[in-house]
Amino acid sequence: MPTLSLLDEATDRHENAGTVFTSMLDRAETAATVLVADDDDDVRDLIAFKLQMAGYRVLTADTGTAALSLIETQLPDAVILDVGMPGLDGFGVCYRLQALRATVDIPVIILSARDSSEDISLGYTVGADEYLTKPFHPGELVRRVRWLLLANGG
Amino acid sequence: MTTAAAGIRARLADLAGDEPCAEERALLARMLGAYPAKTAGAVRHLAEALRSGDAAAVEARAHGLKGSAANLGATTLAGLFADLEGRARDGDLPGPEPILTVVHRELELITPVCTALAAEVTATGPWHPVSYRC
Repeated sequence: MPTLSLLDEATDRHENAGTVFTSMLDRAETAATVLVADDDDDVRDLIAFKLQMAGYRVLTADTGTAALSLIETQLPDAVILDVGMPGLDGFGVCYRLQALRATVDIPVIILSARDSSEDISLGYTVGADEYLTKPFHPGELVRRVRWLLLANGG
Repeated sequence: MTTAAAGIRARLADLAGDEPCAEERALLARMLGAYPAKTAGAVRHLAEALRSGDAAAVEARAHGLKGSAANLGATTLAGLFADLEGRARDGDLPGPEPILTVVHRELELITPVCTALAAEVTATGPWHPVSYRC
């Protein structure tokens, strides 16, 4: 029969582990910058708003070229990419991020209305960490961002 | 409640949650208010592409329209554009006028719904996306 002191000690460790985990989440969340790239301003602004409400700093871009430029200069902690942007599309941006040492480890979520198995497969092939289909669900998107940041040591 | 209104209202509930703050309501109202005119403009470009037989342009335009319709919860319109996108990708463009007639008719149904919901969202007082009864 464990002594009361041992039980107390185990309880403390359990509670401390929970506190540490919560602190890790807090640190991951409060300092992180997320870039959102979508040529649809309603979608872009909605996603940005939801992420800001969740405590993230948000950068936005309306083209793939602008997104790539911002990512290279600002080095966000995570990126959310639409595919169907004019010019350089989301697949192209994602592919280029994999080629740069500074950006290869930035987690990428592709968020697209392209929902065929071929498109989803291509998304992962060019380096996306997650592929979500539109219409997006705010809670799910924020959760995916949160977990990617945590997994990335943010 | 019409099907169009129900779809949009359901989407608003998904986006806004139970008690959206003032800033979120303004954002939703902007989205609702701008949708009819923005879509009408995009449909004009789609019509040009259809009439010129440019399958790649039709696919791109239809894809964009599908996404914005789905984001709003305009599921019938989203379905129309999804079908058109698929046919364009397959090189099987439909005759322009019949499909455009259907699109315009659906957009005419959507427009007053968007206007009414935008006004509802911006009205003062508590607003819950699922509590309003058309």
